[in-house]
Amino acid sequence: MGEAAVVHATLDTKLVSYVIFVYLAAVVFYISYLPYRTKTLGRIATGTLLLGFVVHTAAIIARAVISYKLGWGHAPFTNLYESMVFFSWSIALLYLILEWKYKNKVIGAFVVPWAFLALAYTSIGPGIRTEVEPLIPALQSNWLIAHVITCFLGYAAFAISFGASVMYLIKARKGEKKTEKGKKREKEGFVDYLPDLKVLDEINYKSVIIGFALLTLGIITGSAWANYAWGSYWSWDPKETWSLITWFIYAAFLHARYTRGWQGKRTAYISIVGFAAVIFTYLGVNLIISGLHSYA
Amino acid sequence: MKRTNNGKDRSFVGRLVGFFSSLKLTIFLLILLAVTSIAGTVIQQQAPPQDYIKEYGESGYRIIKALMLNDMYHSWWFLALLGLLIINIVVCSLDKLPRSWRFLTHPDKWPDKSRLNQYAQKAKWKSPLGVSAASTAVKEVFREHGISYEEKEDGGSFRLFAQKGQINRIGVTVTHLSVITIVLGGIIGGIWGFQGNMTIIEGHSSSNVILRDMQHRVVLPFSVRCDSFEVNYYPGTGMPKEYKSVLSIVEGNRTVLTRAIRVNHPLIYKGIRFYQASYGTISNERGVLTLAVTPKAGGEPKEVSVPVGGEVKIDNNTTLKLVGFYPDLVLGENNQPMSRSDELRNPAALLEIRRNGEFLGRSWVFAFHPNIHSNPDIPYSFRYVRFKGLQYTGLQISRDPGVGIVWTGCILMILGLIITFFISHRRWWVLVEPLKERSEIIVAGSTNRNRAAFESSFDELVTALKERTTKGER
Ligand code: HEM
Repeated sequence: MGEAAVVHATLDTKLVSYVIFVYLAAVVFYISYLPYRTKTLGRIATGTLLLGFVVHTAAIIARAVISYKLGWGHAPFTNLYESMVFFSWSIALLYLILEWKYKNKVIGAFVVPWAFLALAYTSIGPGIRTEVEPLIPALQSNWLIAHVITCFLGYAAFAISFGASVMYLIKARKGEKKTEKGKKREKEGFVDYLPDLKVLDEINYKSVIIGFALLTLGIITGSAWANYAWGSYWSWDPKETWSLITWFIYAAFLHARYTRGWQGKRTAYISIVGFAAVIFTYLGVNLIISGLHSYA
Repeated sequence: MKRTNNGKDRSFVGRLVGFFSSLKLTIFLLILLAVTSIAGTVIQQQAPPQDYIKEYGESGYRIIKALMLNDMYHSWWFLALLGLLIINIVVCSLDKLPRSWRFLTHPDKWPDKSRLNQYAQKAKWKSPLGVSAASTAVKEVFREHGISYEEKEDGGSFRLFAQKGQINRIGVTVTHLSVITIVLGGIIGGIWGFQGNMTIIEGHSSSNVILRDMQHRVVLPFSVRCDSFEVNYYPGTGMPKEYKSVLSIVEGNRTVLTRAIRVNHPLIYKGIRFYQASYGTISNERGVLTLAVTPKAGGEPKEVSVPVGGEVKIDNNTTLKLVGFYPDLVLGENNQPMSRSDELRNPAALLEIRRNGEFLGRSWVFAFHPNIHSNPDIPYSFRYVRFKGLQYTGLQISRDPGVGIVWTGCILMILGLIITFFISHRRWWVLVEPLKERSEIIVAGSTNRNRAAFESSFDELVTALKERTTKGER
């Protein structure tokens, strides 16, 4: 590829590098909120995340504008870097909505780190190219844009269910220990401040249904795109198959909730395995197995 | 069906139905499908035997072959797992459908007072109004909340029933039906469809499709001609922005259709789809170069085209000869110019200029470095415009009679999921009974999902009802 094909160190990548630090600060605030739980600290945590989110949004818009100005005109969802930035953005967005709906900031300590890690990965991950690049013809498709947006919003919802499941298991484990020890009153740990098991289970379930609906849409739009680009809506390539594996796991989750004996802890485990499959679908397939999706 | 007192049918058929409609089987199958599917993403699929032998050795290959892991998604055991899942869905749906159907066709509109008291959401209070005044007030509040209702006079008391979102009850069935539809579409495509590719040189035609397995072919009942092929690059780069073939469908010797196809924009003819997949160059020796020629003394640039090895006049007594063309110029040993590939990655042309037959000089023209190598002996400057070699277009051909069914299934699935997840079946009952000169009001509510949201809206409704039925005239 010729030199002129890339544009280095654009405004958006600079903004993103600031956002990484803002999110790091937000993570620190959300984690410190666990033991102290003062109103001020909670406000600072949310405020910091919100600030980062606004700049993050601006960075994504800036990148789209840069691409349009270069005459390539594509939505900024087309390579690993761009998808990672969008993944992080989706987590922040869904988490902010969740916090606003449930009025509970404790969950932040388990979810916001993912927004930070995803974004930090863009600057330390191996072989991630941050340049704005023109698109090869196969990627010039509106189906692809719909595919990326639905998949990554879905992944973000699964990240939240993962956070809720981890909290659920910690709380359920501690609860058991306490009953074992009987009346001997322990010093109150942060576990006491975690939301109720019932609330955690509900957050887990609600995020899985949103994630499942979006993943289903993501797989369908992806198939539609493949059908327009290659004439085959399903070819069992590793990435497709892994997205189906993820889909099977969350379908198992949904049915497990209807089965007595599978509720609670077991569904929490399924949700954790499901998120591992999400991460593998997204990154593992690219790093370990190669396939059609070599770009993202 | 014969049922024992704990509601389970103990006969063989009953047990079989019980087994196949069990959710435990569903969870088991879904997890098993997920786990086994991993194998096919780690082991290469549909590769030739020697690839496996090279990677896993002879005995490894025997194991892979025995378990059919070299084409596992089409192996009988994987298809059997899918088949079991489908049976599971069908049996379960047939088992559950009557119940959800009853919710739609025979809603529990007028339950006994005692049953009314069993619903999770309920409220009971006395109203100073008589039955008819109280029921008018109740109806008003329902109307104001946009809940349409049915009412019934029942021996001096008044009853009201309202429901919303009853469609939710068939959401799961629609979702399950969609899974069956998609699998059905996949089977139809697998049996009656094919996939392959075709390469056609510009100006030539073909009706042979080489199938995916590279061994079989399909002969189309018409032929396809590639009238022209063209690649456009992003300016200043060797990266293709768009490639397109102009194709004609020829039946007998009549051209019935001519259409340009691009990546993501296929041509469909008689159920067969033609996708732009790849391209390549047959020969650059038979290509044509276009240059912009500008007199150094001043004047407008003029475009001239010249075939490789050929000559063209650029003014009355000056000729230009294209001595050599290098689509991907590199310097080889002894600084010999040579082309690394047939792709237009770094196009360069070597020109020779003569005036009245007399040699003036040679000049290089580079597509990506327009400002270097201007030979002072030549009174013209040259700029690269384009080069067109003789190319072929690579088409992907597919016929899939199941694809429409698959998309129908996909749409059903999306609808099914929306109906299941985001609509809840909410019901309200009101009973207004006479109590001396006044009345007693019982309100009950029920939802099958999203209880928290329903609870608060129910509380709000009850507050409004209470306010309206306790104030006002006696
Ligand atoms: C890939 C296959 C399947 C998909 C995508 C699927 C999808 C779904 C979904 C989305 C729900 C709603 C879950 C919720 O409300 O949280 C559901 C519920 C259910 N599914 Fe499946 N399902 C599948 C296979 C099966 C099979 C094989 C059975 C056979 C037993 C089954 C039985 C049920 C039952 C009994 C429910 C609960 C229904 C209710 O709400 O009353 N599903 N399924």
